[in-house]
Amino acid sequence: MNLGRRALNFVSGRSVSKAWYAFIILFFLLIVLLPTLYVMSYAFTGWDDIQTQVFGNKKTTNLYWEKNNDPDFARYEVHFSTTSGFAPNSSTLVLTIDTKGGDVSLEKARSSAFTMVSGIPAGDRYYARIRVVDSSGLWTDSNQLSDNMDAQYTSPEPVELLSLWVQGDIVTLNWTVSEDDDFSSYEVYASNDSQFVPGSATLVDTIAIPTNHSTAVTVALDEVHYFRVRVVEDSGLWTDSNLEGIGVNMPDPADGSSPAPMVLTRSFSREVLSQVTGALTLSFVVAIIATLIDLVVGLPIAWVLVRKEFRGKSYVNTLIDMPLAIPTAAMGFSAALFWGITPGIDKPWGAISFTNSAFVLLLLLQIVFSFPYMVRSLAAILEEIDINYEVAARACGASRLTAARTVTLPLFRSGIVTGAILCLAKTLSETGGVMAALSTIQSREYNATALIGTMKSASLFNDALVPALAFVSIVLIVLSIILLIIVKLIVTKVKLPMRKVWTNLEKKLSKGAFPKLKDAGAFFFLTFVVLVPAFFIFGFVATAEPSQTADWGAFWSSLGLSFAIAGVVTTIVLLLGIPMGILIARSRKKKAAGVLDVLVNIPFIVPTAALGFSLGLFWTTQPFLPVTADVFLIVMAHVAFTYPFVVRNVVGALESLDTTYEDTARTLGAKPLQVFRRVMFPMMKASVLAGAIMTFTRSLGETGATLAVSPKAITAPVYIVELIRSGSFYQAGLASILLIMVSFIIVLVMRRLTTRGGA
Amino acid sequence: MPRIPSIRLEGLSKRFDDIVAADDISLEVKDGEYIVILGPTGAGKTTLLKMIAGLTPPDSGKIFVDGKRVDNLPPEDRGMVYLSQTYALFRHMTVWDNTKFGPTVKDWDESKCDMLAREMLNLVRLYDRRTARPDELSGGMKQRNALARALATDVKILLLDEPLRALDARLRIELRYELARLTSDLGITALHVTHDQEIAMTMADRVAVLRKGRIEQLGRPEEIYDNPARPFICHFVGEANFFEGTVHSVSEDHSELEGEGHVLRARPTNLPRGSEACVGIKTENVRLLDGVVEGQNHIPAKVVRKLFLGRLVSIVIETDDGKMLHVKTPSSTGVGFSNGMEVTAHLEPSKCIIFPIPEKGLKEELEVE
Amino acid sequence: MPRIELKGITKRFGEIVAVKDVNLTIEDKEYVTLLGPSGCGKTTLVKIISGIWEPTEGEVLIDGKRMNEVPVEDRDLGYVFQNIALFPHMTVLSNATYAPIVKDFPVEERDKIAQEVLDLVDLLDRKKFFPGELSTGTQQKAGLARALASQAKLLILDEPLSALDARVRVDLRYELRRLVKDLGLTAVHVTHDQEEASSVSDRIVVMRAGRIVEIDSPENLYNNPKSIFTANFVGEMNFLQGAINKLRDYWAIIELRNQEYLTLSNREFRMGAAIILAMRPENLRVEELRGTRLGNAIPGRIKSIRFMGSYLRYEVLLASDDHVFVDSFAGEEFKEGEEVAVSFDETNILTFPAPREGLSEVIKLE
Repeated sequence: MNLGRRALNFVSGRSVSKAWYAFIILFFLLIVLLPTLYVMSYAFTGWDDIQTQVFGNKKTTNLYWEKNNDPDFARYEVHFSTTSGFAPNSSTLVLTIDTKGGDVSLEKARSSAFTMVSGIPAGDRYYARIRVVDSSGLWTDSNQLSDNMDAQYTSPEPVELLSLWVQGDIVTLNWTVSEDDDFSSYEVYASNDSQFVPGSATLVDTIAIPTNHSTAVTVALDEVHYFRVRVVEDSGLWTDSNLEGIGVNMPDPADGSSPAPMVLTRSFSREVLSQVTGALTLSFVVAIIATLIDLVVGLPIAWVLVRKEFRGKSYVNTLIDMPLAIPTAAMGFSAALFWGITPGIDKPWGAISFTNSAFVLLLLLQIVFSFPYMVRSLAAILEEIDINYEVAARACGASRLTAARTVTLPLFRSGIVTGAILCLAKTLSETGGVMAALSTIQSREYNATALIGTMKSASLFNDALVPALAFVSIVLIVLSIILLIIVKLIVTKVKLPMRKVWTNLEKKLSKGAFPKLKDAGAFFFLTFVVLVPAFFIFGFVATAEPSQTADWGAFWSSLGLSFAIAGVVTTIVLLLGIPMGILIARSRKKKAAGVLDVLVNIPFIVPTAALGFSLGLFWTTQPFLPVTADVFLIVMAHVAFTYPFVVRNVVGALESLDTTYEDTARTLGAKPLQVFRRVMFPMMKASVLAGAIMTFTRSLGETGATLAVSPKAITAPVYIVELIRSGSFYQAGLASILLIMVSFIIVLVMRRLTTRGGA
Repeated sequence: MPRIPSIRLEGLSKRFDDIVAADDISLEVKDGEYIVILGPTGAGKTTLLKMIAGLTPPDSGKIFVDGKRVDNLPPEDRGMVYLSQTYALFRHMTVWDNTKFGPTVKDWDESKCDMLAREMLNLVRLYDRRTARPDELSGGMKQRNALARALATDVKILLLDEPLRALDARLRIELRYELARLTSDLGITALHVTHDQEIAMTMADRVAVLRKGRIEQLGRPEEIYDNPARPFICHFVGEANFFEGTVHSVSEDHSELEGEGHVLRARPTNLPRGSEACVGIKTENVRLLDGVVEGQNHIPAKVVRKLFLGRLVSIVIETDDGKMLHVKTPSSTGVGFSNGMEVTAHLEPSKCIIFPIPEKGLKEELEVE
Repeated sequence: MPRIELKGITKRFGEIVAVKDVNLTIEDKEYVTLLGPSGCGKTTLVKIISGIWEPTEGEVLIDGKRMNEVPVEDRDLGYVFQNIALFPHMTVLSNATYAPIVKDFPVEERDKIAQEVLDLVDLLDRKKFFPGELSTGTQQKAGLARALASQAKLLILDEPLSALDARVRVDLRYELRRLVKDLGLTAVHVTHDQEEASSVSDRIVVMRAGRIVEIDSPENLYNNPKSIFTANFVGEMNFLQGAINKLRDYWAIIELRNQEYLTLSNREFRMGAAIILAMRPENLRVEELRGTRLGNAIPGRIKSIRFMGSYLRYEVLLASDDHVFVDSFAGEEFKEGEEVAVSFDETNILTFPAPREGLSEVIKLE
């Protein structure tokens, strides 16, 4: 007996394999399941915070402003005031943000910044200004916006003080023209104090004509003077320009100019509770309606694909699968461009652009995302149903439709359950596509996952968001699980009308034009509601006006990061998922295996954004080995939500693989490890590879879990979402196409590898 | 000359939830014997085979091979090969690789592996098809490939789970000769499981009739056929007609049963007079006489249906009181009977077997499923 | 009343020709079986008859009406499946009521019909059961009831017994034949089992490689097959190869190997021609080897004796180096290894001209 054989004997030994399986189960419980559901514990430990923040009449405000480009940038300060005049001492600093882009560190790509502020008592009206501060401490305020965007309380956009020069004791100032409708006057203020503290400044000139955008003032000699120009409107609201300093008869001060002013473009608030319930309602209503539509339209298509032979069937199959390989951020953007009214750009060529309702857009979008899942799972189960049942029914005299309704459909419940659960889970979980789409139409609304993604980013600067985040996550997880259980009960328990027969009606409907119309309708839907919107982005990029070039270096590095993560995740999931699959499918302890099977599927129905948040909370707070490394967190999150793909595929493959292959191999003298390597694995290779491809593409395209676990790391889909948020539609389009093509190539290469592998 | 191993089972039992798959099974298989385990679907045949192979752990009981206890060994170390009814040919391997599988995993040297594979493929006449994949083979070839693969492992015990079930009826006849010849030529001890009594009769050295997890009878085919231990076996192995009644008289060389309007003479019995009993007679042992002929064990009847089976003719007759009797007779003698004819059935007393009425009644006893 | 005519039926699946130019007429109330090995096209043919598949070429006529393109639900037939295919979500009774419902029979008749057909197959006491709770044999009886409930006069039986245990098959054969005949149905039955085919049919259609080999009654196919393939396929057969050695007006002497001879009546043989002799095992007889040879007997040695239930099977190695099986209903008279003679009854010997491709090729089963 040689060494290899001895090693084989050793690892085939009972104690070794027992230890190995124990490790697999432990890994799953501790590294996958526990972190996934860890957020539940927050319901106890953080209940007080949730009470205050969510139920305690607080609100969140979203602020969007032009990004500041000052090379000396130090921070943004968000100031809130209850008086529209921002009277001195009436405003409070509520947040400081030290990245130019606002919540996300995607510095180079964006032209606007964003943040979400929470913890402000609801009930009062607030006014916000953003102050940009440079490293020398000089600052410039933005205009003021009321937190509900009420025009009456919007101050004019700031002008920018362009230049000063001195002639003797006369300083000449020159600034940009205000285009405000309600323009009343320019007021020029001067101060000796660079901080321009209230009271220290004096009004030196007032100009009532907007086009008169310069003035000359006389000042004291041998002093340093600082100036700001204030635009005042009829209502009395005003906005200051930046500050410029100049020395008269003296050298100019080193810190003579404050950053250029920015414009606060949008601001809106909602009470936290209503925002959360709104988001959850939007998520669930959209998920349920989209699933129903998928079911109604998916059934005829699945039927045609399984039961009929026609030319080009394999192409249709590929077409249906294609959206599965596309990162959803790209697809969401694409569909939003097609259906949605896009305030940021002109209507793209060929787009329908009919809605700016978040609900309608998300519904259309989720159909695009989930439809392939529905068709695939329906087709898979239909394939399993012996066609002889249908033939038997028809031989009894039932028309095609009667046979389908009375015989095949009732047998098909499990297919409908699988399809519906898959669709619901997918739609409830989708984040990247939703965020991309909502940003495209500049919606004020969020669904649950987009809310988590957004809040998580903002929570970097605003701790007050954490309880709200945890609350959304908990509710989302609990409601998802309840919904899926209800679906399962409804579909398996509710009886379809069986004894009723509308023989003649169904007979008529089984023949002639109706079946053709039905099929044509289904394919029309597939083409124009699923495929065209999904790929509209190609048309958009081809026809849109190329805009300023983005920083492609940042994109490629984000893509590199995505690939590295997807690769590592796929490897881990394969290594640990395959043994788990074997354990579930082949365990003699059927009950224990059943429990494991249910547990493994939990990360699958937990929306990834909630999962990411939960997991992030777990890893950063658990006492043994707190980890905060972004990439590690992202990898763990992706492992958690992709783990079920591989396990399910392995279980499925093994359940359809007769155990006699293994039994026979054993009695032919093969050790368990040899049985796995030479018999089981080659036979289930295709399924394992399908699981691997799924894992890889889902990891590559995942936004929700990534953002929710770490808003700072920029993976490719996150990059795209950020581009869209900042209004860089053209670059977002190009990046999306690149990501789509790269994903496709990966899938093709992997497919090729499998088919060449034989069997 | 390597020893051909023997197998001994002691009290094997196995339950699946509330189904008893094996109930205290003990069996001794001698060297080189061909044992057929015969029983209807669900009798626990496959479970028994899998327990012996080590693929299903028994709840209790012991298994010995050549006197050595093996039930704690994993399947690969038990020195027996299990051949499933689906053959389980590895579909990702060629005929050649399938055949070489056993030797390869046992890590024998390459030349020995090749030699064994070649030898076995030649033996089953598949060497020419060695590059084919299993799905390119016909049913019979698959069966032979599976056999070659099992034999190439050089083990001397074959566990055959319905190896002929998937084949066409005619091919089954052909291949059962081949299988029996191969195993005896190679000196193999075989346990063959089947539901087909004809296979059991034609292939077995001894037959074990299994029902509901119990071995009901063990013996040479002739014994099983001629001296069935209970009505079920009498009916299952071949076909039989039954009469219910009470023991009318007993003597040294015969007994008499009174029931269903007849007094039937049968083989001797230990049953006391007056006890409930039944008489079974194989359909082949009923002789048909033309017209009404009075006599001992003669029953007048009318031909209602005639089925031609080839070698035999199966004739259904109806007695005056409406009881249907099945008769099988060689075609040459069956030609003379046609539907509606008046006949007399003669039940040869020495072939009439008398049984006590089984506990759960005769009808349930005779159910063949 | 259903009378089926097939005219020039051909069915191709891509490159593969499953059925080639089949012409066949099935009379009203006839029980016809399509018999042949796997892949001979029998299932394809029955699916074409029932309208599940369309023929590539040819015509299907039922009662003289062209039925091509008429789907299965409009052909008015009952269909029994190999894998039974009882609707698993319905009880036995619901299965039996299915056809009356979908055929829109008057409401009050539906249950009556279902009860009737269940009574016919003796399943009334099981009507509340679901298929999964029944044994396969019982399930198939329910399948038969479901097919009968459509009240159609044409019954298609697509390998109805293949999934069942051997012993159960035997019992169900009687049922099938009885029901078809009692109800006056036309039945088309598909099987690979010659004994099953013989026992149920009025006529058997022997098929091979997509073509019809022979059509005849079971008795004729068994006793006087027209082809070597049928001779072998329908029941077991001993084949001897020989050549015409002497030819007289009424007699011909056939020479076997090792100068062994048999005498046959002259059946228009040609001198020197190679022929195949075929005889059923039950038509041969093992006799004591006497000093002299009388009649058609060839010496041999008993190689093995098998007990077959109602008869014994001797395997005899003849002096001509041929192995023959001899079935004896007479009980064990001889011992293994004993030198015996095998006697041939001239009238039971069939002769065929030796096929060019060789005997084994012609009788190949796969």
